[in-house]
Amino acid sequence: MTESINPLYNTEAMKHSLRTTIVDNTACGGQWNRLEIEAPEIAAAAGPGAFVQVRAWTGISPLLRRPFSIAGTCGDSLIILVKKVGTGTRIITALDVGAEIEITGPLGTNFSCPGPEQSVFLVAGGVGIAPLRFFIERNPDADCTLFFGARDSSELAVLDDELFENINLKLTTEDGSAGVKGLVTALLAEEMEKSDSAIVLTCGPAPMMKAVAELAAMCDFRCEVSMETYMCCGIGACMGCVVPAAGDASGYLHACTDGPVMDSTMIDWSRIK
Amino acid sequence: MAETDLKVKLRDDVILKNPVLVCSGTFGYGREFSDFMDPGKLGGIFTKAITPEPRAGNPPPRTIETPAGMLNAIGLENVGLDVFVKEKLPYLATLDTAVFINVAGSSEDDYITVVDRLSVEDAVDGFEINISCPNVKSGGIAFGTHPEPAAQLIAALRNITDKLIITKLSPNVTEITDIARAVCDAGTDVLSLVNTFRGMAIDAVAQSPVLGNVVGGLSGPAIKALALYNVYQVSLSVAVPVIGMGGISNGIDAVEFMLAGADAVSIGTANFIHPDAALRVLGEIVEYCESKRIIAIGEIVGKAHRK
Ligand SMILES: Cc1cc2nc3c(=O)[nH]c(=O)nc-3n(C[C@H](O)[C@H](O)[C@H](O)COP(=O)(O)OP(=O)(O)OC[C@H]3O[C@@H](n4cnc5c(N)ncnc54)[C@H](O)[C@@H]3O)c2cc1C
Ligand SMILES: Cc1cc2nc3c(=O)[nH]c(=O)nc-3n(C[C@H](O)[C@H](O)[C@H](O)COP(=O)(O)O)c2cc1C
Ligand code: FES
Repeated sequence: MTESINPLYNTEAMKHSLRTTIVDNTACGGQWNRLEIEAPEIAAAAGPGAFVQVRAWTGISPLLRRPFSIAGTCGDSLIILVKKVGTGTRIITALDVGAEIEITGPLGTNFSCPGPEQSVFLVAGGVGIAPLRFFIERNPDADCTLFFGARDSSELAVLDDELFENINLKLTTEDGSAGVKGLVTALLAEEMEKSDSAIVLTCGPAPMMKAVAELAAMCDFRCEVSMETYMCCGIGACMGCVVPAAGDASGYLHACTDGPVMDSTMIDWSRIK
Repeated sequence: MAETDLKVKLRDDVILKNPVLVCSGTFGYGREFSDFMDPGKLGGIFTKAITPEPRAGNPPPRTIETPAGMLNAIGLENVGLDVFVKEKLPYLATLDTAVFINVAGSSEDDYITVVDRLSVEDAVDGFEINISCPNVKSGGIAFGTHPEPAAQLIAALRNITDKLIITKLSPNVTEITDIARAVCDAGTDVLSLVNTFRGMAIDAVAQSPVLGNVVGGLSGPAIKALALYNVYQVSLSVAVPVIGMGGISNGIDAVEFMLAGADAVSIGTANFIHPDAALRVLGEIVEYCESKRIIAIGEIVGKAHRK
């Protein structure tokens, strides 16, 4: 059982630790792979925003599990999107179908459900699209606009997914190789000006989310962010995964239990680089 | 064949049902793991360090993986004594296992406040006095690096509690056996070791330390051989029971610590890798004992000693 100060915490979800297998693993542009992992218990209990802790090697190097947002479900399987950044992610993205994998979840908080008439602005930076994809999967009737900031056009392969077909898409790339050149926050600012109200859900690099949170605050839109930190346990035991808390000059929230999804006003952004 | 007797006597009135505990700071307050295993099946639980007041802890990043190990500089973040008693202890009280409170502080008074308050709680089986946190200047390490202040603190606590006192030793000292002997003379019932080894990580791209606190404590398989030698040396030089820890990830690691002189073992970083790691270790110890036809677990304690 986990204690969380965040009402977004999914207290209903029993956490599971499974040894299971890879059902599918395909490269999807950029440095990313899309994996399907058989995990019926976790798939049934998971909500958008939740993450899993993964270990796909025996032995002691790498040592700790690696956290990934759940990007969706597919029958009894979970989908995760993994970007190659180091040793662990290189091993995971190279797994064969049928390979063994250990997975713990679902962990952490969920994005809130949109009201019936509510517009939703989803703002994804790179692989931050993962939990937002799961949000779209679970809220097929929501009025969503997806702002997707990619490094270059190679990262757009992830959008080749029927789930995104009916979504209003706004694309930017840093190098201008597709969509609008520049940062996704510029497009978001334009769209916010035109709109009366929307809820903003975002996941991506910290500087991007900080900018998104500032924009949302200026327009008085509610904003939920999915925070990434180094994690050891993922279950509220190690106290490693801290995010500076608003209103408490030295206080912290824990990304694994008070997050990863938090209302942006819970965070002291001035202490985040 | 009869099952091996797994009980471990730490003092006449404190008997663990088996030799596997979980390390302070790696098992929260127990409940965090209850979806994955029954913490009541453990020999005992060391809680996260408790200080009189809540502590926010160090600035992030607080942890980083290193080769076969990890560094942490949590900075003793904890809920403080009052919240611990109100919100955390009731769950621990329901468990059929020994509960040891890890106590930290920056002054003798801090330790006295926590030990005094919790000595009246039936759910508390004893205290693990943390004089070895490497991550907080005032986190007790001032007491842990020299025999005299360590002995003074333990003597003061011995005066105010009848509950079991376990002193947790730091390996970041020149001669750990001097400190071990001093705290035994001062009245500690048991020793636990090791706490983490001081270390750091540097980000070559940013050209700066990784941890917000610069220095952290190294744990995990990377420290196993170092920890094992500390346990070997200390157990040879004192008469009190020893609880061994440092890089234990499986039953054979645990058996090695017992052969080196540990009466019981504690599982730390491995809890992060497999949330039921401690019970897996217990199962593997039992398998080992059965294969060696061991009647009582105490038979292997210190068996590797060459005197
Ligand atoms: C809640 C949460 C959800 C996440 N979701 C996803 C996801 O859906 N898809 C995805 O590809 N990645 C995700 N990440 C990041 C992912 O966990 C890291 O990229 C991964 O742990 C790196 O492992 P590695 O062994 O390959 O890298 P390492 O060899 O350990 O490190 C390589 C580089 O990655 C950085 N890094 C290491 N761990 C993290 C971390 N936890 N967060 C950010 N950077 C890190 C290091 O600073 C280093 O520069 C998520 C992280 C969290 C905390
Ligand atoms: C994240 C983390 C937090 C810790 N917090 C404490 C603590 O509060 N008090 C303490 O005495 N030891 C603490 N320790 C040290 C462990 O209890 C243990 O002594 C050490 O990690 C060695 O065991 P291991 O290699 O199996 O992890 C902590 C260790 C880690 C990894
Ligand atoms: S990752 Fe351990 S407390 Fe959050």
